[in-house]
Amino acid sequence: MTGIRFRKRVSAAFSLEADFSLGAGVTALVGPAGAGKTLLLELVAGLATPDEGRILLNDAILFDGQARVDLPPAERGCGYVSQADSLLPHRTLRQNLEFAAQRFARLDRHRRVAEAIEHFTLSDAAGLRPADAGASARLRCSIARALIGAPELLLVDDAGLDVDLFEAIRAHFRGPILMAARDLDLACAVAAEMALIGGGRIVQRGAPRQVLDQPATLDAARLAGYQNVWQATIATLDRAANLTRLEFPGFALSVEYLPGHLRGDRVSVVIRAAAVRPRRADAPAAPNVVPAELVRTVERTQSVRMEFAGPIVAELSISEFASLREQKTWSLELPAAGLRVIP
Amino acid sequence: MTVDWSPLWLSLRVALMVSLVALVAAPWPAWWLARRHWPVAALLARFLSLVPAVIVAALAMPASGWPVAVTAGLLRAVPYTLAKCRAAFQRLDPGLVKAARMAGASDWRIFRAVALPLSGAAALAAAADVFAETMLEVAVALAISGRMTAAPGAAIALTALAGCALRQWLRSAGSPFAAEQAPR
Repeated sequence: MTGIRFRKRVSAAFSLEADFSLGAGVTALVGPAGAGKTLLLELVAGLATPDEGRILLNDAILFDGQARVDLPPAERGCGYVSQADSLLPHRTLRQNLEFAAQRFARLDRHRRVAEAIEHFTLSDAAGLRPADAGASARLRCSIARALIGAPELLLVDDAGLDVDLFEAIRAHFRGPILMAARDLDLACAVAAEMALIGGGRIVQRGAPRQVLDQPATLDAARLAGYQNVWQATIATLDRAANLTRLEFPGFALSVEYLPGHLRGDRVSVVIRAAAVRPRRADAPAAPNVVPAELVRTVERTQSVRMEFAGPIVAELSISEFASLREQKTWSLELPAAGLRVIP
Repeated sequence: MTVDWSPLWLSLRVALMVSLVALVAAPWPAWWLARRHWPVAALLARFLSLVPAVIVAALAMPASGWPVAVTAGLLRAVPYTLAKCRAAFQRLDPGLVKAARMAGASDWRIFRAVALPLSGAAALAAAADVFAETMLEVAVALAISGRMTAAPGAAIALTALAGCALRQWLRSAGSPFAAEQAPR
């Protein structure tokens, strides 16, 4: 098995704790800057030492705090792509790859470097120093360098990868990948498993769709990109009618019957900005419609973000916004399907 | 009347030896110290750099012979060069060192292949500093002992100035080391 369980205290205010096993595919660690993603990867790679715990890679012990096992980075069988491409600036891309393959005998080294250059289409840039090569070539070279020792686990630190590059990696490397990402979309596209990390703790783990759609805690909801978080009281619980009525300061919403709750319970309710639907004044009546006062609109590349008093944030496409922008008074539909109730 | 050039040769010999020995001796311990976060090491380096100039000047009196003068010069030059190198190595991008460790490079190999090419200019600049300073120090000691005349004195000042210019050039954007130092 491949498993990670460790604790590392960095300062009085921040410590990292993790305990999870890695599947064969891509595991994405998703969280904001400062959540501990980079530290976690460095602890696995052996570039930092945990205070206690144990790291297993395919049943081999890489680190064991009690048994005092702490393999050096090069003996761990991990490839590491760092966040900023850390290619040696005074060497060409080819020399960087040769440096990374230094522990192999000469012929083997030349073969590995030639294969890496071919596979990651670096032949044009191989003779250039990093400063003269393009950003894309540098990134491909960083990946090629991480894979040159045929690692058993690839660690990727939010290096600006895209789906195409991931496919190139996959064609060359079949092992598990542990990837730190700030971008939920990339994680969603390539990961088999997603772990939300915040403040040095993994708050939720699972299939990306499940983690994104069913956040278990408020922290998980925030990390999963739910922009609207409100507190509510359960006013009605009706099992027969499959209905729960949630009271907020100033309005009320209905959702499906919530088992395991009592009337009067305080709960958190979250909804994505894209699920909130601003309505035309003349639209037919519907459940879960609340009046709202528009505070400001923020234009984005593909959408418009509307901020209402409350605060309630809605995000809609540019064409939707164009059809609504003449409105004087606003009401918002909060569809029950988009609402998530968190105990 | 012939000019006695011996003060110039003496200062040149002492200054060259001191700066070369410092250049060879300081970088590796500096690298070793830069990799470790010992408050004691920083304290010791600071203390060694405080060797009073009077002691050095007294030792450097030419009456005691040039090996003593070189020893006196090293007393100041080695801690100085070490501190400069250590600071330069600490400014090195830690990502480069991590990448080298992932590749299985030893401490010595990282020093040779990463630290020296990228921060070696700082060591050279420190050595040029040391050269200029030692030139002047020996000259002052000779002047105090009354063995200095105007011509060698001027030559010494010019040589020291050349040392300073070398240092400036090493740290400037035009030097061959500038590309390595430039942050990306």
